[in-house]
Amino acid sequence: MIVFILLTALIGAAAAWRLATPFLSQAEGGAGRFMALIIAPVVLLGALGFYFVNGEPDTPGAPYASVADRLAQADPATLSPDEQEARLRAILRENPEDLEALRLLGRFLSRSERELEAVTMFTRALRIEEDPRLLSDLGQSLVVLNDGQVTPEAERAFEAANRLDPTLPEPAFFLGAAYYERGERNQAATVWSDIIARLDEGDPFRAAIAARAADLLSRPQGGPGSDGAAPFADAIAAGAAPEDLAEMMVGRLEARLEEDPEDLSGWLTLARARWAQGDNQAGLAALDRARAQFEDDAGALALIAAMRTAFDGEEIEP
Amino acid sequence: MIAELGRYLIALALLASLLQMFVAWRGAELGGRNAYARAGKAASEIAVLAAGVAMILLIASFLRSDFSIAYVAANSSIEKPFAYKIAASWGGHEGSMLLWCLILALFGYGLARSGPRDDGLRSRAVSFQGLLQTLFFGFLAFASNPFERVSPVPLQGAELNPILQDPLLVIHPPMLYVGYVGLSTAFAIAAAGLMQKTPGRILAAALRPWALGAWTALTAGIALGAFWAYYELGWGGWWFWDPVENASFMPWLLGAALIHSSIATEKRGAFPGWTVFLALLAYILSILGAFLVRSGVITSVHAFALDPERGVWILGMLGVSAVAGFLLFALRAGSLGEGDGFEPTSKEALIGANNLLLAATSGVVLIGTLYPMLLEMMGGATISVGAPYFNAAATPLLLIAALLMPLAPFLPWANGGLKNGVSQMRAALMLIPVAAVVIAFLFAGASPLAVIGGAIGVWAISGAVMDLGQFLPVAMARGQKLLVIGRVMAHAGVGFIALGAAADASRPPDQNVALAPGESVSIAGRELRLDGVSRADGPNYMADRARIVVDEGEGGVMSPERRFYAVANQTTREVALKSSIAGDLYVSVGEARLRSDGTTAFETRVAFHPLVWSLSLGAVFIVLGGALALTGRLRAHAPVVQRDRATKPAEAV
Repeated sequence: MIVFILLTALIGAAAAWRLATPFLSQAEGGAGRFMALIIAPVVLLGALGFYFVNGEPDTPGAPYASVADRLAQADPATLSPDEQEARLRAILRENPEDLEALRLLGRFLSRSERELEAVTMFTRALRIEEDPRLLSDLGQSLVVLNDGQVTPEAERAFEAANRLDPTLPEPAFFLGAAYYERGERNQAATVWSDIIARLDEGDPFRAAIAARAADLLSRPQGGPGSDGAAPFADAIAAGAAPEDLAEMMVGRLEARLEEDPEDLSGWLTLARARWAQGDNQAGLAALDRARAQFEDDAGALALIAAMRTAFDGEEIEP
Repeated sequence: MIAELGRYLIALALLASLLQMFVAWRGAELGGRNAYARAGKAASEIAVLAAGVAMILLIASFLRSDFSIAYVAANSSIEKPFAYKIAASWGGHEGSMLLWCLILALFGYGLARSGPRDDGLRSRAVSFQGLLQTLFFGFLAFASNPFERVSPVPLQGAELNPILQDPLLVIHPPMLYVGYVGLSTAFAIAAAGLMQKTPGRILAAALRPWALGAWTALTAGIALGAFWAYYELGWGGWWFWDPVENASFMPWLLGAALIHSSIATEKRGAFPGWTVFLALLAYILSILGAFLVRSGVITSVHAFALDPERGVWILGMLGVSAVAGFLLFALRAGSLGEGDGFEPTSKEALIGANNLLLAATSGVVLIGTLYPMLLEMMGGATISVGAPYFNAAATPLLLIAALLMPLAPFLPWANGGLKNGVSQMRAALMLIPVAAVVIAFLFAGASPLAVIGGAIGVWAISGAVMDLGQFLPVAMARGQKLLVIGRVMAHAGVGFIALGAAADASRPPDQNVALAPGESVSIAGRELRLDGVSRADGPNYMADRARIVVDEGEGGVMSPERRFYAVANQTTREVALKSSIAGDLYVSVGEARLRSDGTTAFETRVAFHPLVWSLSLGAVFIVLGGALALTGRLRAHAPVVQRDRATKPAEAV
């Protein structure tokens, strides 16, 4: 503040002197000196007067270097999310190849729904080290960026992650999702069953993956790999009631499972359909048949159990 | 402290401008050679120094990323490249206003130092300039202060609009402001001349070099902006009749009229009132441009402040300047005197016709620009006036002006000489139908207006060449070669622009297609194949860079980009251009789309702009012509009014 006052006083005095000088020549005489005497304080006080209309002499500046210094000194736990981001960016400005900072910043950005930036951070990190967790993070960011779709680029990231560390649950789950999106349900069920079987009973990922996979696998098949309503074209044309059509479809599924009981997705779909039709006993019976069919497959059993849990919680939609 | 020091310096510049206005006025009252006039000059020095140091402090704040300053926080980010941190100092409203004020003060100092030779006129002009400075520094200090503080201080800035992060945009605004603000000197001299009852001839001689310098800079600024719009906006054009482009075009047209009418006034005393009126109006239209850009009344890529309160301030400044100027004109225009008479086919007559056409074009543009705004204000419908109106209403007027332009140098002052002039230019005249046929043949499907425009362009260029051949030897003998070369280049530049605009208006339809790698698109006989797309991130953006192979590699490779600026959350297209004598091949890439077959296709815009170089060349010629004419004028140290007595009427323009 004192420096500021001194500096402005100095500038003001210099300006006042420059303006008053023309009046101080001998030719101007007393009238000139009088004019100089008026002009000098006008300049000194006038400029300060204009300044103080909206001046804030007490407000210090905040150049980035000092802000970065303060953040670097602070305990990270006490920093706000924005400050943590700024700190990570400051670290990366100092060392653009700081792997940990890249990873943390990528995850922060991903959590903040800034997926495109997150992808950039993970990609930068992967140029330094091929790490399965980073690959998985990259793949997940790509999935979110593409509205939940497992794009070929994301699938490649998950495949690489899975190859480097097959015990990681996320890459395997999304690889299964990629199969599922292509209509390859059996492969999806196999991948999901495998990863569920490898996870510990108490692992929260296990239950989460099982629930999500059971939900997906039990949905009526449409899109890629399905015949849709084509086999029932005649019935539709004849004006069959929706519930009759549903019964025809479920009956067809039952018949197919009798021929091919190895279709886990089919059993889950049948159980869900029966439950949704209000025939709970038939739904539970379908699950029992599936349990018997896959009694040696811990992953498949976990999926069936997840379906049962969903029935109990009435979380099932038709 | 830097921010507060900057704010103090703006306050000091405001005070200095206020004192400049009062003491220089008193100095003019006392004859112009006294302590008051010298104090006026000293005040102008202080205003320049204060504003200059404030600008340096603002740039320093950007380089230090001091986000405690609201303007820095709103227009910068830590990652932004060094050059754009500097350019951001004038990339937003407040900083550009500081630059405007600095240039205004510089012109004020220029007037005080090298203004009109008459002491009283100079001092009065410095005073009027002080008035204009006071208005703008007041606006800067109290309504647009670039050192305004923000609390809490953000950790990251909001980034300068990415489309402004371009090398041309570093120099486009300063150049444009030199043009806009430079016209203030013509205003100040004209107003001072009216106040001092200065004869029209002397006044025209005094204001002409200032108007010429400002107009030249304005031409450069507009041309840089047009080129930037051509390759940065990705819309595939160089002029859109956007309200803000129009706002710069109107003072440009009036500036062009002014530098021509001031010649007639200076040489023959013709149109003294008109010349002074144009000097006043050109600057008032400059302020109107500032109002359009900064008030929020229009939506445009250029509109970088949407604040009605500031609009009221600028309207107030516009009102004060207009009332002061036009009231003086109404009261004192009679004192400007009347010139000698002239015949309808003399040089004065042609300059008068040229002035009427340029002023009429300016009026047409003004109506088209303000009409939608006025209609909406009066409760009418929301409409927009676009290219069809301007092309139909303004272009024919400009073509007639360009048609008459080459004849003027061949006509004598005062006396009729059309027959003689036409006979001297017979060869160039014969080129018009030949050019029309060639253009119609080369550009099948060109509109009649484009064919006529192109032919007139060829006529203007050939006329300029004949002008050079005819008058350069005489001018060299008289030491006026720069004036003649400047004129010839500027007139040829107009011809090149007409030719380029006509060719571009006749270009093949642009192609908007989605291309997957390996797919091709054809335009103007060239095949462009998308070879692939790769990441090409920059310091503060992420980018997809397409590799487009032209004619299987024989035509080279083009690399347009699509950039995403994360901090600003904005996407831009960086156009790739491949220039040749035939024209520009123009490619931009947009969003990626996933097709149902799983392939990724990229929105691609492909265009071919024939002879577009002619537009750039025309602009360069006009700017160089203006600069040479100004240099020639400054070198001819003696007042032209006196020197002209020794020359024959038709020999120097």
